[in-house]
Amino acid sequence: MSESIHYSSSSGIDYWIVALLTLGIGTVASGLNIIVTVLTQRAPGMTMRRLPLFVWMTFVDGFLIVMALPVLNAAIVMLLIDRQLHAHFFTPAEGGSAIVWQHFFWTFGHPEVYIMALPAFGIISEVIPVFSRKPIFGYDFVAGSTLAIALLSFGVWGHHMFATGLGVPFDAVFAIGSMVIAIPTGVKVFNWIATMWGGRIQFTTAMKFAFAFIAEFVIGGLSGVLFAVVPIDWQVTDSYFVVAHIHYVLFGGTLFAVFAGLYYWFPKMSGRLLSERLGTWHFWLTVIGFNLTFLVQHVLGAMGMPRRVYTYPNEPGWELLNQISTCGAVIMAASAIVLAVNLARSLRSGECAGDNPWQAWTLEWGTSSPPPEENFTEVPEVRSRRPLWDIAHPDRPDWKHDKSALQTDERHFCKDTLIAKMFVLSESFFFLALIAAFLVFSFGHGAAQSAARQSLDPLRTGAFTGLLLASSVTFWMAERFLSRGRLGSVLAWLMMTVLLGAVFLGGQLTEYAGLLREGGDRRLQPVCIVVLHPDRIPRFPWAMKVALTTVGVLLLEELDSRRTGRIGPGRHLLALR
Amino acid sequence: MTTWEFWTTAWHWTPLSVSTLTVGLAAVAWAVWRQRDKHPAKAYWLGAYLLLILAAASPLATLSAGVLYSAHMAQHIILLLLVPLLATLALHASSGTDEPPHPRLWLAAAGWISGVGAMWFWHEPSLCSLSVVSPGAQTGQMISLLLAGYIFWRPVWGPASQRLDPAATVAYLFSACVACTALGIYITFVPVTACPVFVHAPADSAALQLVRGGWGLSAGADQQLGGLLMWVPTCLIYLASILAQFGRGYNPVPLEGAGAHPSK
Repeated sequence: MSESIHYSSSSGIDYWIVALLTLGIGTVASGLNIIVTVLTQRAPGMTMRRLPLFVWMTFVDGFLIVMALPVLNAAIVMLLIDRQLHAHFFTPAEGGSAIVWQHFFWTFGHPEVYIMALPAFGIISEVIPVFSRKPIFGYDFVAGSTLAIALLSFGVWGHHMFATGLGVPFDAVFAIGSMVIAIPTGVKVFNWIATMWGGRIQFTTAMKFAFAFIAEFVIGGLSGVLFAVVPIDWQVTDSYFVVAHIHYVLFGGTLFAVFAGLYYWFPKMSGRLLSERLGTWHFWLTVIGFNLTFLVQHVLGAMGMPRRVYTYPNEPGWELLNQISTCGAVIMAASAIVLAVNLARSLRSGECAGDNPWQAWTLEWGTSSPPPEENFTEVPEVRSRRPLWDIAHPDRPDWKHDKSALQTDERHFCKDTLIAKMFVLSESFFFLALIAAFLVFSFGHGAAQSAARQSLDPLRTGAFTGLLLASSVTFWMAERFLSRGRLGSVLAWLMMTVLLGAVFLGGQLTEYAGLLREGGDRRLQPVCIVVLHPDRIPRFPWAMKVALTTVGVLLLEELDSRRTGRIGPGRHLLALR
Repeated sequence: MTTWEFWTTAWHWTPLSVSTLTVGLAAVAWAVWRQRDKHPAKAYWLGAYLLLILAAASPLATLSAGVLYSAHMAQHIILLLLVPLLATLALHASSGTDEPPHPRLWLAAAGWISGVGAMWFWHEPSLCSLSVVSPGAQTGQMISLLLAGYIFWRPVWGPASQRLDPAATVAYLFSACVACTALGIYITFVPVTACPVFVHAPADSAALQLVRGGWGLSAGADQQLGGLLMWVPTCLIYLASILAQFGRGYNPVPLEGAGAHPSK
């Protein structure tokens, strides 16, 4: 992908990079939104220790997003620079490293698995207690294991790279780390099972999908642990065994949980119940179709069938297993049709759900279905993890014996400061990735090392960065004096801020001027073209198209917002200013 | 020399290790005598002292003294993270107080800088080599790692009223983990120059012959293992502490009589 000449000469990859970057920025914004919302916008009494587990896991998910996505963003920015500015971060023939791309991708890629899985775990942690008629078993352990998964997920990406030949110590350490991460996931599974144990289980469609989720996810999890065993990983890398594993985790895991959540929350979203009869058809067709499709792929992978091929050799047994897989896919397609029919019928003429059709205990079931825009006219009192149970059972409320009821002291966060901090956190990971790339190449060998050392003088850049950071301190000092009303000091600190900023900008200009002077460096040719030969800019038609499309979309949004009275991009920009 | 012979005979009795263990034993005896009613403290002190023996006098220390870089790294992790962690837990096991929580941010800043800084400082290649060949530098390294470790752990497991709140603790430890990960990645992937003295170790050393011939560990693989130790297991120590702190946040009953002030 780095080579725009030999392997992908069209601009398709460039559009893909820009799209992915846009998606990455949007996802970071969503993660940031979730974190700040959970920390600052909770209902009175809803302490962090009383959060519904779905909210808790989505909150942790927000941090994973904010920290993992910027690494991918940095990598694809480097990829774009490779393609458009002729750098060679990832082209081994020119001194770059394809392995570095893999490191960056999997630094993001492994947490990404949990970014997709944690909300699913949260859904299951809501559905199982309600349909078992019991509180979740070991709330603290479920919440704590989520934290453990999130933190560990950043340290185990190496297991995706066993086949790249990074050495025995590397493989051994990451094998152990990868096995460790199975522990908190196992904790959750045992907690869900213990919640069901002894409960009055109601076999609604949502609960059926939750059951199936546990079974399918455990299969996917166990095959995942197999990949931590290095010799097995070497044997099945890039085979259909991997395809089977990832589908058991992401389809049997995440999508089954999403279906459970859909049947559970659809009445709240729409005010109408989904048909349980059609739901049962949907469930069984999905389970049968899914297992027919993917279970046999474990065998195909073990027999050596490679992934990412459109056909396969005529090996004994492969045809039959592939035919079974195809039949399963057809059954899954039928299940999707049943779901679509169920949704359409429910929206048109489904049975009215009422406020709380499942007799659930979390706050959303205390309002009407669908909820009004303001959610509640009067927010119910929250004194435990099951506020609606407390209201329905004033004689034996949870808060009388719930540990979470003992702590009502909570740290309060300023929304604006928190947004800024989370943004800085996200940016730190973006720049960490870029700095890591510089270090890799400057400590490497040959052309890459000399290019890295010519491009950047760490001492000089560090000094200018230090001045930039110092300007934040002087600005903060100015703010402090402003609050004390000492205008003279405010002015002095502001002048200092401006001075530091000017020195930083001057430094940047010097650095760029130096790079431009060394025009022989091919990587900077396009920059030189933009500065010195603007007439040749149309060499980058994709950039023009992206810019024009963005402007067009914003204009349409603005016009639409003025017609409907919504807040449009223009007002957002004004607010930002 | 076989592996068994090595582990049974290669104990590292040097003036530094003997004096470290003597001073350590005296300190532990004094602390246990002062805290004689506190059973958890005794266990922590015992654990800390056993780890000190492992780091200062066991065959691990022999390997660390110019033979095996990864052993040197393991020694650093024990001295900077594990021994001070157990000592901090022991010292403040009974620090129950009625004072309201009042975490001191400057202590946290100093703790983070000293904990992470010590790790980075002693892995500068020339300093790393110096700490192996010079007894003075060895002494300085040992004392500085133990002290920096205590300053690092104090805002997390120190006096109850001065501990960071659980959310700040997660940020404190996770950022330390990121910093150690960065160092670990650097050591893992740079050419074999992270600590030159281990590349030029005397080839006639029996321990080195065992390591290279018997265990099949080349200088490159040794450095890679050292970097990986810094990268993954170090973060597991921070992670374990984060989870313990998380448990403290979820548990309204003060741990060991310390820290929490339930408002109801």
